[in-house]
Amino acid sequence: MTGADPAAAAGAAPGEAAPDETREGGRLRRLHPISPLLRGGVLAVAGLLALGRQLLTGDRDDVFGWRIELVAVGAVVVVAYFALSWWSTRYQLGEHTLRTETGVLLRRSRRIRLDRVQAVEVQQPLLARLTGMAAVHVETAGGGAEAELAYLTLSQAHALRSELMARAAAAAAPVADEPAAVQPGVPAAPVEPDQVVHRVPSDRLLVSQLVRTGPVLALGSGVVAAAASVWLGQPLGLALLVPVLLGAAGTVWSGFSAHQGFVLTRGARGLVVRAGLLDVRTQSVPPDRVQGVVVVEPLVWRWLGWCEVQVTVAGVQGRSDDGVRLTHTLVPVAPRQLGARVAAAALAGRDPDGVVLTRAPRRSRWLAPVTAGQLAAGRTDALVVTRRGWLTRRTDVVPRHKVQSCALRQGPLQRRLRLATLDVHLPAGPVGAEARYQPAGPLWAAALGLAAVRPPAADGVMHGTGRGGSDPGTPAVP
Amino acid sequence: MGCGGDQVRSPGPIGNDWTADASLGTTRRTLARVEAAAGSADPFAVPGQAWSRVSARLALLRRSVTLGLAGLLVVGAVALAVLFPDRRLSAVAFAVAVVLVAGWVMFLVGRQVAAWGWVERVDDLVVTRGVLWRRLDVVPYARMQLVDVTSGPLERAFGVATVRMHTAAPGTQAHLPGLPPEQARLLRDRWTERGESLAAGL
Repeated sequence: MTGADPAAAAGAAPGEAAPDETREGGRLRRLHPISPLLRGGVLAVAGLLALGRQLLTGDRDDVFGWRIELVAVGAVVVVAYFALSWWSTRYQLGEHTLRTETGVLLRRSRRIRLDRVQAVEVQQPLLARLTGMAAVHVETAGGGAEAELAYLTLSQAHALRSELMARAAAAAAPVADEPAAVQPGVPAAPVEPDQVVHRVPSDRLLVSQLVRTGPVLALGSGVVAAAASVWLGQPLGLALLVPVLLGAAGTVWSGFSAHQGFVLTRGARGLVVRAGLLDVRTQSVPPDRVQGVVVVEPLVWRWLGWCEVQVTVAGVQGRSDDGVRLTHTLVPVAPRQLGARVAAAALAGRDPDGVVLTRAPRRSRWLAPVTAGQLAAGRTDALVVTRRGWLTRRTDVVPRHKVQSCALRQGPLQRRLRLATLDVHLPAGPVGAEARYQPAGPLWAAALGLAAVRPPAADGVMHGTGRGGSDPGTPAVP
Repeated sequence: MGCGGDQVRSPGPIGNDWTADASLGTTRRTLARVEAAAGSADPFAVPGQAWSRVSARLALLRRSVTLGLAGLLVVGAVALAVLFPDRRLSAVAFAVAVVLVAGWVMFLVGRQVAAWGWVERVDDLVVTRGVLWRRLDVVPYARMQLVDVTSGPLERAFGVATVRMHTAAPGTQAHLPGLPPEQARLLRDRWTERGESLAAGL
């Protein structure tokens, strides 16, 4: 092993090993020396513990029935592999690219253009959290070329993330409104104190997850089934309910653990989400990457005045169940007003609440007897907003210059009622704007003129450039 | 800010923003006329533009496939009727049902193929299709990720190809089946060119 002391590296700037200078100006750096142990994970730890105990007690010469020499050789090979892997993994943050060198036998050298970086995420799985380490994920458009730097110390990871975000913003917008903040070659511009927008207390989070539509339905059917089985003297119905209730409990737990300790902050580069019980994640949501926002209001939440805000960000694809929830969640639960403010901030200041919604006409009750009362849609120069759903009401908001395409649909019944449905197409994500059962004529006119290539001129910003300076308080729509 | 959620429920006048376009009046009568026009023969027509239609060879292809399948089924039914005389009645009934369904499909194929159409506007491509379930896709060239032309063995035998425009959204369905291959390639090149000159990506 290398014998490097983790404590010595903890306080230093990202990496301190490899001294080779390159023309990019930065240095090729190694990850933290404790990485191989963390990446080997629990298995390696357990194996080492078992081996150590065996060596200490020494009453038998086998571990789990294997010859102790074999186990020792195996452990050495595993440790050596991870150590080699650590030795051969290096990264370098240049002015325009992030370069990674990985692989023991199959060497892979990769350069990621910083102007293609969509999101940078700091992840802390359980073991890493115990040791104060963190992994940095770099995601690019389409989820194609990505880099995973595992592990750095937590402070290094955060410093690298803000540096990456700063340089990515600079690379994407050469004439940024604050060029002084981004000096190439100067490591880790100090992180400006981010303003905390929203914090979710654990009790509020737990209650909110309990009264989502799914668990409420499960509980309701449980009560009904219990009453029915007592009434009829037939306990069979209860047995059938066990999986339903277990499933609901699982949903509540995953929602809770994914968003525990949720903090939403706003910095110069957009919104930053940080949450997780076992697996702490930090993720940036730059407003110019936001494709759309959806405000979700389950039935019980509407009585309590709560809402959830989810977002579709280009290039962010969740990897695990928890990941999907977190990477798309901007606010797990908040008062309606605050949710609307966050949604407006994510939309670079275009306030969805300023859009006048038109309700679906009364005749749409023939097609949707229950939800017709919720169906509504509206648009301005900048946004298109649709609302649908009764048990779980969702209000989808899409900037018109992010609309990939749209489709007007009309079945035979809708045709008879002179109604139609307009789908707004976005990259894969939680947002799915759909103007359902609106009058066919006006909707048709809307479909033909919906997609805009550029944001409305009032924004004064060309499409695709950073919009860090815009004030989320002022609606772009009069 | 913050009151939009209630605006929908408020008893006051509700602005109908879909009709904000000057061409669409706000009085009920005008609206009714517009909607009546929308309910007429071609509710999805693009103003001032005629649909380009796909080749009738697509109908030929689909009819041939239908005929082939129906023929196989009828031959099978006849064979059964000959081999098992006591089941003759049900075999004949089956054959008659196949012929009826095939006839209906033959009729439908003509209308379906005739319903496919597209219009290339300055900034976007408009594709329509469907007889009972109508659909109108509007795809800005600027959103184009790629355009591809495909032609399977059957399609090649009938001299048709499918051109398809992809965007970053999985929901986009902008494809045209049943084009002569040279026209499909022409469209692909033209759309690609426009997409590149207008590219806006995400």
